[in-house]
Amino acid sequence: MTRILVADDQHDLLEFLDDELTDAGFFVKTVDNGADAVVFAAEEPFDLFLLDMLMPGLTGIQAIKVLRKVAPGTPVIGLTGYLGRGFMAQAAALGVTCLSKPVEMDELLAEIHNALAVTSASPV
Amino acid sequence: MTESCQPDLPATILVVDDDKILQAMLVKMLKKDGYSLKIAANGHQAVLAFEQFQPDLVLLDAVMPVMDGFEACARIKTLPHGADTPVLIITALQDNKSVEDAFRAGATDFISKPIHWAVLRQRVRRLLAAKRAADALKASETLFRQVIHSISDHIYVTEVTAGGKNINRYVSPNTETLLGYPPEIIERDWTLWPSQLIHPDDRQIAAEHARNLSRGIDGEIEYRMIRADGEIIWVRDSGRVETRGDSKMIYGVVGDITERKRSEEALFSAQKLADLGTLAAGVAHEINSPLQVITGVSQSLQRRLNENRLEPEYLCRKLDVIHRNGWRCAEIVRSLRTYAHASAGQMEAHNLNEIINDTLLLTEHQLKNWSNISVVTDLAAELPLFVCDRNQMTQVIINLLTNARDAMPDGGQATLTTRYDESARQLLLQVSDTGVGMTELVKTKIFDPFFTTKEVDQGTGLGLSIIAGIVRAHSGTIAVDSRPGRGTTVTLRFKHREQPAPAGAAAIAAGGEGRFDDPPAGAAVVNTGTTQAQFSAKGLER
Repeated sequence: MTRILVADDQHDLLEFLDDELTDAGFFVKTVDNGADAVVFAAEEPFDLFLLDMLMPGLTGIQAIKVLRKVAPGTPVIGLTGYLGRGFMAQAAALGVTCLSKPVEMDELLAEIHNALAVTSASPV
Repeated sequence: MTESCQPDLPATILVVDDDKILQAMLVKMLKKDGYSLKIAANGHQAVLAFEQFQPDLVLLDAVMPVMDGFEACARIKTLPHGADTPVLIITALQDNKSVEDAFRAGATDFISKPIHWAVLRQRVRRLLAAKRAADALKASETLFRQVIHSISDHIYVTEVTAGGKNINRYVSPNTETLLGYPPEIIERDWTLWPSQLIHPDDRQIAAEHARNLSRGIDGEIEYRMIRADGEIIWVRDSGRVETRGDSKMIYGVVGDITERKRSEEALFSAQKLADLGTLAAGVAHEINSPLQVITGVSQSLQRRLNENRLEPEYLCRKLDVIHRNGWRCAEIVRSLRTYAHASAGQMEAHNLNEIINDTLLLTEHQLKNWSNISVVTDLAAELPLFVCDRNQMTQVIINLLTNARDAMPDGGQATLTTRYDESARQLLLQVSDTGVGMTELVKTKIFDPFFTTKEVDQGTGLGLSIIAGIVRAHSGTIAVDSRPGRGTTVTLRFKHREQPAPAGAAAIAAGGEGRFDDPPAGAAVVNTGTTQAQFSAKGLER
């Protein structure tokens, strides 16, 4: 079963993502801050990280950098309510696609399948 | 100004006598005393000689052919400088009528024949000395009049009598250029300025300024005035008080600062846009997260319904989630609306704590989650209503929080504190951070427009200079305490003004003992009255 780690500090949103991704057939683990995301990522294997880019504990960019070290090669999808242009560029440079809230669930699922397909096709 | 009678030139005396012998004796004797002499033989010649030579003194025989001394004197007095030139009449006529005629004709003094030479010499010396003193006084007065005319500001002197009556003692002619009203009109009626010429919205603060002056407290103030042509101008009125016996003399200067105000407003708009950007980012984030929940959950419910697997209990729970998140959006929009609605310059009574909470609703999440900064509030339980421009206060808070955020790139804590100092009648608003702090050099420049330590595109460099402007407009002070590595504390103090103005404007003691801490040592205090340039040059020196 494909394992996704979801991190967002808004509990309503976290629960919604948990419901929908579980419904779509994924194993979902949820955390409500960036630091916990890093801890879980280091302890358990995940196939994808879905991160809110504005969370207490670690900023989105910091979290991506740490996750790249802890779990190299694991794709990251960012979610954010607001993106400055500089911030978009920084995330893109780290190979992370950021989706703006609100996002259609279909679009999010398509992005997740796309990221997983790229990873499984790569030789890493 | 009179050119004659300069101290380094001998005084010129016009001797008028038809008696050749007496004339020669007078000339000989006065020449010996060092005077320069001109001669005429009758009244008619005397008038012509006066016009030509403009003497400093005229010695005039009373009884002469063609035109007698009395008529000559009367004519001379009507000539240019004639009124200022002493005329000494020499006469053998000593009856009352002759003496009266001499004085009626404008003679300064008279001396009787036969001439007592020592008395004559003394009279001449005394009259010339008096003329010199009068000329010097006139020259001095002319000089100062010219200086005052060359200043474009309006200058006034008002006496406040022991009985509390105001009398205008002087109103400079430039008043007409400034306001379009002749100075006489303003000089005549003291009440015209405060009750007609000052903009109705500013009469209250101007009245408070006037009360302070009449109590002997110097001060300056900026307010709007309505010109005779209806144009509204901004002026700065600064007054100094001198106690003179039972009454007080107020010496004031009123200058047109409309241009400065206009450029300040332009700068204000630029910074407001920058602060709106910060606000918009906060709003976007704050609203988009609950919107994600609302759109996502409602769509999910629809799908579950279509697939016939929607449990009533699950539906109930999810509808509650949608409801809650919908209201969250509404709350954010409400707080934004108060920011957008309050029109600029609208002074109304607000609760400062409420403004802070509304501002935090939009910016706190952003600070906390984006930059890993926790925001702590320490708000006074009881705060009197504060008459302020809500928009501007919101901008001040956003700006100070943004500065705090930028000072803490690795995260930290921002603390917002409010207090009320009853004894000093001051409201205090303090924003402190645990950030990088400032060096002395940076601290001296922070109020300069366009000074910034931030990266290009990160700041306009206008924030604090505009904040200072806003604080000044609210009769407040800014104190900045900062040391490198020790964080920064910005303290704003505002005079608490009731609405309407307190009767008799209770004395407002600046810097009085209060319940809140005094600014720490090294704190820079910026007085509201100082100019922008003085902020950086003096205000922030240790």
